[in-house]
Amino acid sequence: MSSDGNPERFVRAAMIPPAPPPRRLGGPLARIRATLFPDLANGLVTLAILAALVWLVPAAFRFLVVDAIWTGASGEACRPEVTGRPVGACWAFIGDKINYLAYGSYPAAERWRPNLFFGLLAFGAAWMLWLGAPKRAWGAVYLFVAVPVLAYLLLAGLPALGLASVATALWGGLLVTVVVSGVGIVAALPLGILLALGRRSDWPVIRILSIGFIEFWRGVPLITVLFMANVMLPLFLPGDLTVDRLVRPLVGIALFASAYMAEVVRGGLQAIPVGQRQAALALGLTPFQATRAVVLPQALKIVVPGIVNTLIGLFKDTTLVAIVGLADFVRVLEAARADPRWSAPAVPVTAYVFAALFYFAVCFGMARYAGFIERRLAAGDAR
Amino acid sequence: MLKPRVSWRALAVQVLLVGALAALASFAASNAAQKLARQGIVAGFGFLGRPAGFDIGQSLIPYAAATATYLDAFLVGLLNTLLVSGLAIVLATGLGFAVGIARRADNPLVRAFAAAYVELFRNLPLLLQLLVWYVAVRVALPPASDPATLGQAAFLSQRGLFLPRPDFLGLAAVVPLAFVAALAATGLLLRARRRAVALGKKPVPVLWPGALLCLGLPALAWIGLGLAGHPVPVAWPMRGPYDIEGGLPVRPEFAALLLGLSTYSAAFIAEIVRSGLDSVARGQREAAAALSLSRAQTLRLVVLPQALRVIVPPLTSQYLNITKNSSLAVLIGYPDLVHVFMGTVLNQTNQAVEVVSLTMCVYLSLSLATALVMNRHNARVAGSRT
Amino acid sequence: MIPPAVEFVDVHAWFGPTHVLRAIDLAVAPGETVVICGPSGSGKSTLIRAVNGLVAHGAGTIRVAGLVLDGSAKATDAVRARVGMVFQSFDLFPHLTVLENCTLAPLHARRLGLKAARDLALGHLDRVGLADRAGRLPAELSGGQQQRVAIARALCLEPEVMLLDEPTSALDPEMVGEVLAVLTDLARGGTTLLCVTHEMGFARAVADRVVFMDEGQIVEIAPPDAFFDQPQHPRTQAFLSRILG
Repeated sequence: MSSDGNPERFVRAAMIPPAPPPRRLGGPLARIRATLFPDLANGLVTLAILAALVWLVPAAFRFLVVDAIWTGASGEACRPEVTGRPVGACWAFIGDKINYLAYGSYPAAERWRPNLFFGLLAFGAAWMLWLGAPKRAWGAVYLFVAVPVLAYLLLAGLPALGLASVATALWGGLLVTVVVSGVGIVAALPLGILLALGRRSDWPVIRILSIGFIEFWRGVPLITVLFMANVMLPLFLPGDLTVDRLVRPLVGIALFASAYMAEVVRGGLQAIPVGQRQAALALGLTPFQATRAVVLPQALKIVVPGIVNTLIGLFKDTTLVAIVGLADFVRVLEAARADPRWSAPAVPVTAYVFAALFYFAVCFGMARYAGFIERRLAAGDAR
Repeated sequence: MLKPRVSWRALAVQVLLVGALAALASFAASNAAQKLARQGIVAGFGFLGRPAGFDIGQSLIPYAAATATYLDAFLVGLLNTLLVSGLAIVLATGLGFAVGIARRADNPLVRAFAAAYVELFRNLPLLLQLLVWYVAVRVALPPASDPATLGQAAFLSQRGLFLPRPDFLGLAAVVPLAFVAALAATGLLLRARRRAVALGKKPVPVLWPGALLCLGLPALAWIGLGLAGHPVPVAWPMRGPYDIEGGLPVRPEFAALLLGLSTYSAAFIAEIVRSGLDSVARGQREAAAALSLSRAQTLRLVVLPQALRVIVPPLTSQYLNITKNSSLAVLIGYPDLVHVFMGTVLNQTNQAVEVVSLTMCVYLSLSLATALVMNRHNARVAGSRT
Repeated sequence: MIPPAVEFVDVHAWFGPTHVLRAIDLAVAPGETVVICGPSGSGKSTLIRAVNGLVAHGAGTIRVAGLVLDGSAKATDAVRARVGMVFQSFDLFPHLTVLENCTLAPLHARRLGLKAARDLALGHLDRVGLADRAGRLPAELSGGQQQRVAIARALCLEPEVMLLDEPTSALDPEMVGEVLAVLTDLARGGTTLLCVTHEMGFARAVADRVVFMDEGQIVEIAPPDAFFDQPQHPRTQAFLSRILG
């Protein structure tokens, strides 16, 4: 009901009920035009991106699936001259090398041991990362105490227990990557918490030592840390005591990661209002109890996304251990693709694509999980 | 108000802690000293004066394997690190800002494309990216036997890009000095501008005069030297029997490292920029739109200046990361500080403690310098405009 | 007939599936002061924002200073250059001085020269009584002063229509008066004002018409005395009894 243009007085007779929005003229087409082609510059960019997609997506699909070679025993299978058709990814190469990529030169008969290790670690990680899991304190003991001991026994072997010794030089591939990242995070978290608390301590010596430690490891590149650990650790030990070639970079990575973890935990501690600690003290708790029971649990819950992000960074950083001779996943892949039996132009490309897919899947997955946790925490706190 | 009492317990614990650490450190040091002495290695930095005896593929300063010392090698490595880091910082900032702004564009395809870029480059290890870039760069270049040429001035092949190299030694040092003077003058202009703005007066332009000075002053010096009869000596690249010799080589390792570092770090910078843009209140964009400012004007005049406040601290952290990540050069063969000094020199001299501590000192100084600049900037920002 | 400064003809708007503006018919004459009031969620802010295109309407016609808002960027920009808006949260640009806040639009959107822009800005700042604070930053001013600067900033567009979205709601009580004084001055000076406010004293003193909105539609329009003393619609009566006690 309309009134003439400019009423001095108006009183509505009947209220208008809500109505659904109209279908736009042209429907979705008009919306597409508005968002993707509002002006010339946007239109050109849209066309460029669409052109890139049209070229990229089918080409990628062809490479990864259609033209890919899935079975074969040597590089011959992946050459276009031999197969008579264009060749995409040489998945046969990956299939052939898969054990090498996963375990390195770990003896085939003992491969159940790394597998068991993977299982135990995955179980522990799931227990700690699933916020709703029961008895997570036991999970912490499991992951930070039991798993490391079991892992050492399983992987390195203890003849007394019937597990044959396997030299760390034989470990390689995914096993090394997981061991390095795992040790890194398992060592870094407790040490990082101690450092973060130390940084906030009232005792000047502890505070200065903590700050110095943190700033030192955060100020130098990881490669220099690995070099340093490799070269200097044997020097500092007495007599003929030497350190296993795997353990040296592990020590370096543990110290390096703990400094970054300390900063992550510090962020969480700073986010807890001062009132929490004061209330705990007022209730009669000692400062130690107040920290352990009230402040720290809340802080750790907040920084779970930050911890996962540190883990992602650590997982990517494991590729650097190749510099001190460890055969991590990328190094093992490089060695595999140099195999003369598998010489074909498609093989190196396949190797890099496989590595990229692997790392992307793991890192992107973990990042999404961290984001999921962050949203869950924010929703929980929202009133 | 109660004054905090000095707790004897706290004092005792701390003294014990310091004592224990000192004991541990001296134990470790004595072990190291013993082992090094047994290997016949002389402690101290005297080894830096010894001749190096190895060649370095790319160097900003004149370096000849025959006459160079380990100290020269150290300097070459350091300059190479600074060179690739500095250029990567510039490229990564440009690309990162572009992608970060694109992540908040109106066009949903552009937003998705930018998001895909960020996720792709952030979730792959830098080493893997460098390896791929290295292969890609080499594949794209013409073979060493048949290089592309720009007259006789420059050559491009899988061995690298060979450019004429001016030698700024002796009198010719006036040219780089002129550049430094131009930079200092630009700095002064910047300070004058800031003071003018603070006093509410019309600010002097900085961008064009600064660029003109930095390009023009060295050019004038160059021409001046030539006219005065002391032209700057230039080493031209020439085709030798095996390789192109002379001139200034820009290696494919350098290009791969630069491209890899830049694209990788740009993804992180893009996220920093995006969160900076998000930190600006929505009402600001509405108010700017109500004033009939265009989207581009709103971004340039209203949003970005405010976003920069949030962006700058994590951005400087990223710059530091770029410098530290340049150490991955050792894995693709670019002669940076770690590769040359902690790699080759350490292997040859076994002076582990000295080499490691010197290298760490370099990186720690860079970190410290960055932190100091950052603190001063933060104090200024917090003190003046809130 | 003089064409209206702002004209709504059967205007509807939706936020997703929600029908936020329903069958709005309103014509504001040049120089007229219209006050819009109503309970929260009634669509008052949406109505104001539809005038300069900050909210897109889904049906009907909106005409501002003779230009039709057809959703195109050109029309929207042209309208925004003629319409000034003042927000509840002031939204001054914190990194610019008071003077720079006011000269921003004349310099970049209207492309005035630096001197012309500064003279214009100082003139309007003087009008709101803050010319002596031209070199200060917004954070150094009180809420009332910031809002007055916001008004001056909008006036620097030399607009034909001024939109005000609850200009005093975010102010401490002692500062409301200074802002209302400026607005009264504006209204009496012949500027077309479209103002959403709860300040009934202001409405009574200055408005030519008062519009009451509820559930996205205009429920009653009346001159201020008639509106406050003899509201006719039951919803208007309920609303007035709630806020006037």
